[in-house]
Amino acid sequence: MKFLNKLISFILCLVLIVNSSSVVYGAEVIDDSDGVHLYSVPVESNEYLKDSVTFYEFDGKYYLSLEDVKDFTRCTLTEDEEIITLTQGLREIVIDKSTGHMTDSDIVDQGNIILLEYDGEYLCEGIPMLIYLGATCTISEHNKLEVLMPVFTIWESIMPDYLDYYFNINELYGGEDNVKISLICDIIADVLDGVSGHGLMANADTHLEDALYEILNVDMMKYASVQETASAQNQKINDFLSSAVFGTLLDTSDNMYDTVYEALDYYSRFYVSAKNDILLDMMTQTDDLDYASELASQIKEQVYAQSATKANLKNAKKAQSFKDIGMLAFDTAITSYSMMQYNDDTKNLFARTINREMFEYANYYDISWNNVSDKISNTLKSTQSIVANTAIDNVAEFAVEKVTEEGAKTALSAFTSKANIYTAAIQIGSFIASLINYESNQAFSADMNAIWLSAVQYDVAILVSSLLVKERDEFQFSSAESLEKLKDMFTLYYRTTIAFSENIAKSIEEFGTKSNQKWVPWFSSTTEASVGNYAAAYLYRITNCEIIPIVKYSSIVDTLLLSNWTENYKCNDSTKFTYKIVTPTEEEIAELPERLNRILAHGENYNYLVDDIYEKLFWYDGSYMSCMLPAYGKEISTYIKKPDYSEEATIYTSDEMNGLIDFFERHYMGWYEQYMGIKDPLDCYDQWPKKLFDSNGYVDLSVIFDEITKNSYDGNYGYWKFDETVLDWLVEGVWNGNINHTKTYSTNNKDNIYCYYHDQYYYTPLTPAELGHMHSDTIEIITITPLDSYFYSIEYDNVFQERHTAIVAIKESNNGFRFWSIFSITTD
Amino acid sequence: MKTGIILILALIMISLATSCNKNNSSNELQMSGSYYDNISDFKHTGNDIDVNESEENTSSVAKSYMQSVTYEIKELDKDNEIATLEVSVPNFMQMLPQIVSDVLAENEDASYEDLLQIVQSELEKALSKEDIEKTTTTVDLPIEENDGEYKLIYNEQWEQIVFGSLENMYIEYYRTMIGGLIDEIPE
Repeated sequence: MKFLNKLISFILCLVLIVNSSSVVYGAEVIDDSDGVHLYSVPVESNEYLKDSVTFYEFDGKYYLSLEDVKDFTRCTLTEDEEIITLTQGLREIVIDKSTGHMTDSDIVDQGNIILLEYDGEYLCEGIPMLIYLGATCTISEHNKLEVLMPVFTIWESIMPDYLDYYFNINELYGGEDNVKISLICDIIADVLDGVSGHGLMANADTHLEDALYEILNVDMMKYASVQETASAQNQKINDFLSSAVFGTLLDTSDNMYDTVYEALDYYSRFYVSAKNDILLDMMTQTDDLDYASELASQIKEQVYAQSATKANLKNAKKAQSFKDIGMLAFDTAITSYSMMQYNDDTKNLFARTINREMFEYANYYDISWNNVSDKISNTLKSTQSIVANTAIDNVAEFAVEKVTEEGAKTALSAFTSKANIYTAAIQIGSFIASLINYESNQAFSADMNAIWLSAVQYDVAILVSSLLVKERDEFQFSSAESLEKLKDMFTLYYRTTIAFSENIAKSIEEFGTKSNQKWVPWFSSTTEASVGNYAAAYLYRITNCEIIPIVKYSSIVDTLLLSNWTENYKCNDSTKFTYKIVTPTEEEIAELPERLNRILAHGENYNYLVDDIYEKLFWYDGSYMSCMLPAYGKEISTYIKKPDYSEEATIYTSDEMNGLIDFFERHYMGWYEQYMGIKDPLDCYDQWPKKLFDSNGYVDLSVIFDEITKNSYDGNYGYWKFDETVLDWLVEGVWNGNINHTKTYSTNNKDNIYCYYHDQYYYTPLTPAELGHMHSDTIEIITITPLDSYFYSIEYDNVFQERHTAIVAIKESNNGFRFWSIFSITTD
Repeated sequence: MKTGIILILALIMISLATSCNKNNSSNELQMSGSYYDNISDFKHTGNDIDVNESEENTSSVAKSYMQSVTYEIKELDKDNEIATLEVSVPNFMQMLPQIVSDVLAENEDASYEDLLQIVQSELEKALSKEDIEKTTTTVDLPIEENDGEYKLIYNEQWEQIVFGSLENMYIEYYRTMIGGLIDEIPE
């Protein structure tokens, strides 16, 4: 323990003195007079939710706000008076505002970067920073900037508090009364292991073998944290494919089958990491993952082709069905790939981590059980690859049958529902092979396993700590080979932690007395805040993570954004309003209650707070949201994503739901039905059943959407027209701060006008629709841009509402107007 | 479970045996004495451990324990290749808890690591005393002759007598420890 303690303090306490560059230029404050030009560039991203992003061109380079960089790269952004910090898991990039000096993870000194300050926002050169943080950036064939992040980076896969989960079994019980027991156990262990210097378990092959098999047998998929992550990951991929990729492609495609297939092919190369040179190298060495990648690709092809054929879709024009099946193929392939990694990676885990080379690398030799792990590796090596050719056919057949029996939507939900992903993964896994059970003796009790695993975990904790220190001191996270070793060792560490937790929990269950109720779930519960559940989440991450070494930031050059391309997206600066939240004057605060009363036109029972949260607006007609305020004067599809049915299905397919299909019909019909029923001057609604229902009698939502978006014109349902008095209030009042407080605003539904805003720190007390209550959304107003004398482009996002709250702030726009911006108002 | 423990113990034995070869160069079996001193008279049929490494790494407390285990060959039947031994093993089950209690009482403010060292030292002292309380058992061990040199061959019974109580004690205390977990979850 002494060595480990030293190591811990070494790692945690050592403060690296960053060598600041002597060249200081800091954040340069620029404004429009400096020749800044704005570009609203269309983007496809698996992380960034908006369809376009603003680039700021200055001095021939294209900059992004750090806020947008954060959103593209799954970072968090914090800022204080001196520094800006971008954090991505373990990785922390600190930029000094006064010098522009950037340090990565306390270790890698990147020197000064160009940091600009424009209109209150900090900007850095966009493409280099995105690449630096792990994104792959290209211009897609749809002429959009494509920014893809790997599913997980290694930085997000390292448990920041991993040493807190190293357990010295003899210290676990604690308490003075037990010191005696601990001393006795330690002394006996000293006697038993003191002779050969090989530990208590020295060469106790059969004991140890059993314990080591426990490590390989860890079934991470049974943990809720993994199910949640895996289903969310699939959902995220589906969202991306559905909205950013398929949506665009299908709009212009005559051949949907080929279009979807091409997209699947293109993106699967990214998601199964075939683009990654490091992984390719590793594949060459191990064969298994190479094989896995190839098989995943074949699975995808087969599922797609066979499902489409069986569902008789090949010649059809049902875009949604193609998309569903495409995503199903994708999810099946991704899940299969994940399971194959889980399996084949694990099979030779000991061979990769517990070997002479690694001992030398980590400079730690006091491991006595490598002969046993070698034996296991040899045993498993001699078995055939678990992935057999027949597995492809079985997995494909499994998915195809699901489509045939349940329909693509339901089959798809197996991959995007936390409740079902385990079943799906296990079913796929069972086709791939005996995934979960490596051969073990099962001869020894859990308590003995826990004892041996505790000792193994000690060694692995030292190894992984040594590798981390080596990264810091020698490689600065810049060597792919070294990071690969770190990944492997953390994989072993997480597995050992889980195996130990499961076994000690069993042991406590068998022999414990008063503490069972707390300790057993704390160690091994699959659903709660347990050690096992926590470690499993990281095991899943590291299994699926991509290694992207830290490179020299200055070596990354933006060769992507060329002026002849960006020119197409140049903003008209005169129409650009910007604003910032400012401190209200005392007078402004004093008159606020009255203003809110007037705006609300009823009720005095509200509260308000000032906070810098999102601005939202909600227009409510009493039964359903009928006026969602899209981009006024523009086609709805430009500003509103097509509803993502699978996402909502995830939310609403709870056990209470009696039937998914029934739900889909009720829910989605309801959404459109209500809208159309109210805003349907052409009275099209009654015709819908004939026109839009598919051959099975189910509404084809994609067709409805297409009808709305394509076959409409202003005044009809293609343009969701906002009530003029509300628009007046919104633009003139809220935006320009010209509310006429002597006038009572009225609409056709005066008594039902509510303006709702949302605080991200609040949760809606209104239950969402799955419980049968009213389904209401609020709208987050992101920008309001006048297009001409009559029309305004309003960019917004949907969120849920809360009630009985008003949140407001004073804003000052760049034209000098000060106005109350209402972030949140709710009433009864 | 037994097999594994036996293997551990057997390997401890063989390492001692190999390391003690240097101490006893005689070809004759010692008829009595300390198990540690005469370890070269014993033969283990499993894997060997590097002699030098084992000798260097053998802990002092382990040596003390082995030293305190004594035996006497009561009968050596070369025709039937069997030896009858009377082996005396320190009564660890009583001795160790008592030492630990005494040390705890006298060193209230000591750290755990210090306590461990004190207990170890006290134990070694106690094991080296002549009047140490022991349990004596009779056991038959096979013998093997090779080039006129006889060796006592370990068997399970022998290992159980010499080390079995330690293993049982460890497991018993471990389980007591698990049973006595306090209710405070580690942070």
